Amino acid sequence: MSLGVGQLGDRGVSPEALREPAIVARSAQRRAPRWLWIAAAAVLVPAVVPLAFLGARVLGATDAAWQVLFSGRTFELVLRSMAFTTAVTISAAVIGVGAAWLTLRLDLAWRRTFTVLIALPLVIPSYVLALTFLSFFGPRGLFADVTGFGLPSITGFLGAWIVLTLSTYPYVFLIVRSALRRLDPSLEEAARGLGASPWRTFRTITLPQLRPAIAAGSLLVALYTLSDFGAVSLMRFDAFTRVIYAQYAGRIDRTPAAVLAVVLILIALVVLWAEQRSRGRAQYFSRRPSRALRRLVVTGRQRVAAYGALVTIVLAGVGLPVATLTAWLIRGLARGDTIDMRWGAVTGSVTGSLAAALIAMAAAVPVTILTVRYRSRAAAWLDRSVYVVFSIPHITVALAVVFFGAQYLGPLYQSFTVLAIVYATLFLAQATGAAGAALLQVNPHLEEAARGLGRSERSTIREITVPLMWRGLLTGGALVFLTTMKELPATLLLRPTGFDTMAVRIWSTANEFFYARAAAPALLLLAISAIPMYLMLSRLRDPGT
Amino acid sequence: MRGRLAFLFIPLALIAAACGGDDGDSITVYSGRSEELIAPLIEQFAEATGINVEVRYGDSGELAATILEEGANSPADVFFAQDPASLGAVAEGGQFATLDDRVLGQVSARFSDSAGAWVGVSGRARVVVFDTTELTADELPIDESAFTNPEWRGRIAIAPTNGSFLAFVAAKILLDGEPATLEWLRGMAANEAPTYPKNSAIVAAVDSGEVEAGLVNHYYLFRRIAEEGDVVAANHFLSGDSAASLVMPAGAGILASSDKSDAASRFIDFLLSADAQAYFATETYEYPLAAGVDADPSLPPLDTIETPNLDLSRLAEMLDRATDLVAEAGLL
Amino acid sequence: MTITSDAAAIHCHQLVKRFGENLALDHFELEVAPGQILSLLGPSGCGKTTALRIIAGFEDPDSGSLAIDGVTVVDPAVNLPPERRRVGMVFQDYALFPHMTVAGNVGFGLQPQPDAGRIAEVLELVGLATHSDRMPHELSGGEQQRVALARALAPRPALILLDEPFSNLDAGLRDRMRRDVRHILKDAGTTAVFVTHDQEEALATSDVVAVMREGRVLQTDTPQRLYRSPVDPWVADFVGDGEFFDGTADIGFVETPLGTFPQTTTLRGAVTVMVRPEWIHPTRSGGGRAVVVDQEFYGHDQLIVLELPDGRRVNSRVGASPTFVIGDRADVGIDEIVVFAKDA
Repeated sequence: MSLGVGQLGDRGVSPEALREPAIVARSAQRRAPRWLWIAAAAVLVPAVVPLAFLGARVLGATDAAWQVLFSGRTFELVLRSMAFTTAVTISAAVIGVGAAWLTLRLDLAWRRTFTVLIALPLVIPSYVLALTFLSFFGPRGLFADVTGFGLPSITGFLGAWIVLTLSTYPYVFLIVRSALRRLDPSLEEAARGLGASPWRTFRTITLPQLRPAIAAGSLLVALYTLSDFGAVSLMRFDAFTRVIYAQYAGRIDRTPAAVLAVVLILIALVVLWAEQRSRGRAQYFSRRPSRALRRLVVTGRQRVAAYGALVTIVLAGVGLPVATLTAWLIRGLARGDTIDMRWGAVTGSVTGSLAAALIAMAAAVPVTILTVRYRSRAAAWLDRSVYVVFSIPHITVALAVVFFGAQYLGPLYQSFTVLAIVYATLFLAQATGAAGAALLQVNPHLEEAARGLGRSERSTIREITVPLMWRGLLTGGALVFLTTMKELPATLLLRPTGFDTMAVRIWSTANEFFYARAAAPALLLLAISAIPMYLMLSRLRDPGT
Repeated sequence: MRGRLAFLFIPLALIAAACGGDDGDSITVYSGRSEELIAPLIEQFAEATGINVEVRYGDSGELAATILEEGANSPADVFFAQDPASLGAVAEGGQFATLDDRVLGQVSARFSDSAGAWVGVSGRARVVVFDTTELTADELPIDESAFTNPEWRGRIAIAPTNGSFLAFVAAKILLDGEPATLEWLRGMAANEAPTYPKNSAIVAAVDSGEVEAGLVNHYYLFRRIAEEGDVVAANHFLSGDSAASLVMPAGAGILASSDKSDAASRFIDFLLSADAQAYFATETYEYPLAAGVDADPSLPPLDTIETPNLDLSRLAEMLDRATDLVAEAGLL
Repeated sequence: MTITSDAAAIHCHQLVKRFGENLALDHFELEVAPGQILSLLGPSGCGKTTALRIIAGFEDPDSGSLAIDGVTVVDPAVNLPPERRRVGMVFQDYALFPHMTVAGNVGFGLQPQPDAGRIAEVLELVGLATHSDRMPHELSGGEQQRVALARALAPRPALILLDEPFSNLDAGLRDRMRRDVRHILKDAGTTAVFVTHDQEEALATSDVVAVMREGRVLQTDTPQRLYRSPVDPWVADFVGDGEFFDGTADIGFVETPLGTFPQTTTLRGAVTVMVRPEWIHPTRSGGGRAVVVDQEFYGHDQLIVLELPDGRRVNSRVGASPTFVIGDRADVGIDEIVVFAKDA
């Protein structure tokens, strides 16, 4: 089973329980009630539609489609994409874990500010990050304009790697951070007491316990990287997605694109398998830190290095894009451009993202309960399909919905309803991941106690399960909100006519070199997204119940 | 506690509230041309005719795919696209109605579909954009064939996944044949031509000194000038009467499934009117194709561009082959 | 739902439960009389918790049947969900709802309306009348334990199940809680089943103890009988300390390295003889056959290690008064013995 955000297996396993393995395996007691399956199935209909559509397309694939698959550089690009995804995942994991540890375990000043700033790149669309990098670097880039000193261009593998790493490390940062604060400090203290250095303690005690969280964060990083097209193509790194997009741009026959998308799904399944393998078998986490953790006091060169690392991350991930956007804006204003704020785009972004977040939260409840509480093969596939959808390029999902919607949905086609549901489906993995992590921390005895006290399954879910996983659901909702804010391909194809978002504004202006006009919605997107980000992080401050 | 779960049903309420209807005298346009450029024109049309226009902006290729997926249920009345390739895809899918001769007659036949499925609205010339600090126009060849020579290794950028480049390749197939086209593409690949996702990215890269030159449509440079002020990039119109000097239209067609073809026709008429054509000339720096409007004086006149004679509707037929060849050459 | 004539509070019949390869319950049989407190005693992994969870309805058996208060709740045709079994459960980790107050927890099972009177009553019963507004995390371990018990008792269940209820408490508190819980359960008149791996706890708290091993019940008896007449050496060893000897039995007597003793079994030939340390009485005697080789003094009693003529050492537990010095010779008296068949 893959739970995404934090398989933070935690049932306060006592030594007694460890000696009696049956207790650990004992989540799948009774069969899941039928209504729960019905709810989960209903929730997954929008996820299954694109998959079924792709399946049908592949079955009806033309010879050309198979030729595309086996010709040219398809195979090479699959390998390139996998190598690239691996590189991004590793660097994002290193930065994410490092930043989480630095902000949480050291006695640095401005910790809260650093935390928000370090999480913030999550809300910057990766193609905007790529554009600002392109504009900033280069012999005649913004940096050269201001300082007179030309930097080399950063493109190709290096550029794509930097940009994707910066856009995705917050997944690892956020998940590992919440796992890190739940770690029992006495384990680290025991290691230190046995004479281990802080570094050895981190490597041999802390890191292994964070494995499930790192794996869960890395999963999101990998799947995001795999499906990204905008940033890698702007950075001119040839990845597999470009073949898929090229098929849409230059072909009347759409089966080749479908065949290629299925290849991408297969890669995603490999990633899911790798994530499961890397998570390890043990359920490490203690229920709740018995007391507050003591931050390490660092001084001198170490302190400077810690600040240096954090400042570097913030400068690259937030400072550079914000500075570039601001420069664009100032240049536009100086030229006499009027900044047309388009409040319709703001309300469109916010209502769309809010609806997506709420739908995803509601949908995550049955899916999470099934996958966490009633482990079964069917539940595992349910969970996997949620992640697979997360890994398919949005254009593919959107076109599947276009096909299905135009034929069968009547007036709902191109409605806000369908758009919000598609958003929620695309990002459901983030909600089920966060909710799943929270539910894993809820002692299943609590639900059993409720059943023993005469409550039905449904009443137990309502009064015990949901309230106790609420924090995880909220986190998941916040993640869905933040990623929906920057969603573009599905928005373009599925939005109601006249529905506008800030991401659409940015795309349509930047696409035509209207950088100044793109800067305002981009900065606004950042500012608005920072609010739920801040709330999410401050909600997560106290260790969970 | 109960409140929490009830909260989860808010989306349903929200959804229900969002389902509203619209209608009246209005048409739906799928526009592959950007809102930044086209919205003022649409407003003019609405004011002049009282017809409300609902526009769905997007990428031309993706919108063509959308129309093909929607089939007979497409809400679109008009498809207004950047490139003949996207228009051709919809025409090949049989989803355009045939336009009136009266409409087609306003534009030179070489800028429209020969079967009358769509009409050219404005022209874009394929050019070489180059960095004037690195190159002079004299150093540029007369057609694209020289770019596979070793001296151009790594210096000339292309956008192989972009509709306009694919249309250029399709044209090259028609003009030079498949083997020669494949050979040229392979030569570009062997020459490590830097690839970009789209024309605007190439123009930006040339202007910022990242690459010396690139094959693009002419008008992106003018957008760049408007945004950046001073630029070091310049356009060079190839003179070799080859696919690389093709003038390709942005165009529009009426969907066969539209039940508002009158209003749709009026929209197309409007695009071909003197007002709209003048708008293209002055605001987007494209070549006006109708109503006798002249191009911006900074551009070489349309009739001086040595452009090959080509049936654009056959270009769409060649599109799939073009994509195949680009893939085969290893440029995808 | 079938009503059987069975008057037992619980009747488990031939319950089988597998977890993959592992046979957790192997034709498990158990009967508990109304009002009785029974302990399921066994080592870790013997299936005792699985049995408890099947009784509660958190786990489905692969086969077998189960009746509670004469009502069949599980058999091939019936499977009553946990909420309809009227079974209260006290978990090892208490499983108090962290988002509810003490009163909220205790009132949770009182449907449809939490009855404030009943909440006060059970909180009074467990001695926490003043704690009703506290949150669980504000309570000590012992208090949490009492709240868990009160919560289970509040709906007046037919049966209370307790899964290792005292294992999270420290030693001093554990003894007090055992006594308290036993009194509370007796006052409430509820049938109760404890699961424990601690034999002392099982013997001290229960009316009846069922000893389990590898998914089966080996012996169900009162604590006294279990201690004095275990059915086999394994049970004997599990419920207390014991010295085991090879012996040779014949009608009416058995020969052992400790001497010849009367016996009432029908066994003949090679047998195993078990003697508990407190059944061994050394008396100092210059010509004694045993030698005192070690001694641990505890105050209330003491442990004397004796070396027998064949070199074997045995433990003897005696009162505090006799004074031995290492090296003393002693005669050894035996109060009681238990004789087992050799292959048992």
